[in-house]
Amino acid sequence: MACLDGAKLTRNHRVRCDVVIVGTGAGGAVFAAEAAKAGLDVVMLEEGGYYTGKDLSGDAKFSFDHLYRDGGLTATLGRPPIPVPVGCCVGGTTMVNSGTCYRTPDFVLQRWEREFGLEGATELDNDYAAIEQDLSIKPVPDALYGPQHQRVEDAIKELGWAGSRIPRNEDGCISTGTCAMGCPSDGKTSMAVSKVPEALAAGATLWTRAPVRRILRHRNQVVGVAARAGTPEQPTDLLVTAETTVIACGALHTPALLLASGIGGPWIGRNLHLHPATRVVARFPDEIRGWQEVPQAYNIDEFIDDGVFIQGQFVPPDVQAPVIPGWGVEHRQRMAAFPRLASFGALISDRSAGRVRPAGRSTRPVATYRLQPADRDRLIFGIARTIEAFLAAGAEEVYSGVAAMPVVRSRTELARFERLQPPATQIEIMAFHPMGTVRAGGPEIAASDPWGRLYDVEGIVVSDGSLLPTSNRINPQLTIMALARRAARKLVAP
Amino acid sequence: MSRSNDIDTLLSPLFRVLAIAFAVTGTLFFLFPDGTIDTLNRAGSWLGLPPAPHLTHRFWLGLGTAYMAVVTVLAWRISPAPSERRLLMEPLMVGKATSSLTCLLFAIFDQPFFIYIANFVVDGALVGIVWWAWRQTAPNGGGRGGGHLDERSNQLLQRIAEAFLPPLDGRAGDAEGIGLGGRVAAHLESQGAGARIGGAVALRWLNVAPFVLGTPRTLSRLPVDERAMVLDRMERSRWLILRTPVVALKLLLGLHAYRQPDLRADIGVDDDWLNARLEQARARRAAGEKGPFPEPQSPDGVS
Repeated sequence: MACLDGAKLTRNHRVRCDVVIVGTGAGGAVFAAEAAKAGLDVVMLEEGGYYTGKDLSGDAKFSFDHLYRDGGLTATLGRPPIPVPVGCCVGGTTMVNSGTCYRTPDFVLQRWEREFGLEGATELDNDYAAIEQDLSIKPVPDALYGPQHQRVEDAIKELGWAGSRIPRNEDGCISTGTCAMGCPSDGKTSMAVSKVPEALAAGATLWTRAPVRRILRHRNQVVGVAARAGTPEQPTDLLVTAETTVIACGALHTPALLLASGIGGPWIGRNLHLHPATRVVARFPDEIRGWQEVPQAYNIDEFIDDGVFIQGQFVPPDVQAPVIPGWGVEHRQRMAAFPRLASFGALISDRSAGRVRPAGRSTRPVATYRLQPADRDRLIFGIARTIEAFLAAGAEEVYSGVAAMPVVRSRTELARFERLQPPATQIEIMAFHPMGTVRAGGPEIAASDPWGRLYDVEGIVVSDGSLLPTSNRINPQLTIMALARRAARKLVAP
Repeated sequence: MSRSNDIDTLLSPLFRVLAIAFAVTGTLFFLFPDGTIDTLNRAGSWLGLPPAPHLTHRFWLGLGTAYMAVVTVLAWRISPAPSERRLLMEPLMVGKATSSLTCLLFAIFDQPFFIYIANFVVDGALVGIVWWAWRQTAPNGGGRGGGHLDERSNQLLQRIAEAFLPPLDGRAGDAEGIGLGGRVAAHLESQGAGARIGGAVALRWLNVAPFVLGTPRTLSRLPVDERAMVLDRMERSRWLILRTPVVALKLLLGLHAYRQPDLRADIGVDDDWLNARLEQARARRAAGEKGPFPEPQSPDGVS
């Protein structure tokens, strides 16, 4: 086992191994753990640093600086531009998500198998079960469940809608309420405290702060990667050659790295899918103190067939402030009611599709994505249903996140809100879960086979959200992990 | 992401656009030399300038087209990796500066044709842009970190911060007291040249944007309450060009304002809850219930 800091590498270095894995998020870390446990010589490369609970205190600024890519300001270009926050540290986005873990609905998996040729998509049960056990995935227990979610749950029952507690990957969560800023208690079993240590314990090597610049190729065979280590003042090269190269940088950076390295095919970078999402905040007459509970504990799944999924989503005041309407005195007065605020968000399964290209010769992705009118309508529908749930729960004022009508106070106003046809540019949108840019499936319509092996070149496997052929309707990390597990096992025992 | 990568992300599309613009302009000159002169003459006539004559033969057109081809290729070859290929910016600057200055001389000593003046202004501006790019890509240039927001941007940021977090009776903290503008400026600077330059451009745009809304004063000259109202109107706008910079700035202002302990306490967020849990987490680590997790070591000595 070796855990090495690439920024401290003072001379050029060359490593030879069986498997080199670029990225340590949901796809990369699970792949690394499986391969290392099977006895392969594994090297993991991570662009960001290694942070665990001891380094974290829930401070948003620290997290944006150290755990998120681009200080949390990664965004797609288009109309409107959409922020897509993603992690850049050991553990990737699993470090900064809410720990929500669902199995992809069967009807989606069946479609992937039937329409895209993603063989075995409906046979992931064993992989799901193994990951669920390893990461201690279970619905939020009573001890961590608070009034924000309880109120909405009660209201949902009155409305006759379906809903459930969210299964999360946690083992000893003490409800610091700061999941999106990195878990300071290590209760969330992110990859940084689960699969990465597991891989290291099985003999793998991890290089942190070693961003990969190029995938190395000899004729039609990928032979490894070149990373930049050292400091900006004294850069050094880290060259890793391997029998198999696994790219797991996420659906934005994986296609950019492939294309910048001259590895492509007609599908790489295309078919970018996101989960555009909104945040709706409600003010209640009495205190909720939402920071004292698990931020994402309950979901409304009544509308999942319509592509709308509503989840709890409480964030600290420094992150919540921009969504509160108004400027100046008006904004300050609304923020003064922070202990009475609750927050849920609606995410939609998009029909829009974007594209990722590298910027010039760099590996930096430029993602373009234009939200289609049908998706805008679903966002408005999702916001309206969230407002309806909050009003039913007793909220006195709801902040819609729609600039055309930022405050809704009654069902009458909600009816008026639903008649609005605001342009997408007036909706507060953020997107999560980039997917689909190295689609897996049959050779006619996909970039990789069902196990992530690229069709155009040998010796390379993709293992992240890029592989998902379409939106999977819900948070995809568990599915990414399950696909990574089965791909690693296929490599070990073909 | 290294700084060179960061500045290249900004400059790559710029040089690509320049290359396309040179190619299109050169082609138009070549195919419609007299039509191009006529169009510019019409613009000049509004300013009372004399019309330039048509070409009498094609020799200089041949040389002009060759020049446009050269600058097109230079811009195109620079675009994939501006930092690596910054030396190619030098002949591009020389070409554009020569074109600009000779037209200035012709306008002074020959005839004040609009076509001379327009070329002096446009190519002069291009020299400025390429020179700026050349400086940004210098080995120790502003594009590689260490750059600061200019003073005017800092002033504008402070004005906007005051509108976001004005003093309020009975409430703790305000923008000036917590140095909110400076904190956001430091944030932009820490994100590299793209964020710093983009921020400066956005701040200047926001300063004049009230004219679009029919307010005949710049944002910085408005009283603080009117400033807040104008920013609120921009935030509600359906026009991305008004809304996006306001939303982005509000995000940074909110982030830096409400991480201040005084303000958090003021809105009723007791950090005692979090602190108690952080203490519990520390105790668990000390007891070996969680971790220890691997720590990256110096790789010196690895074989």
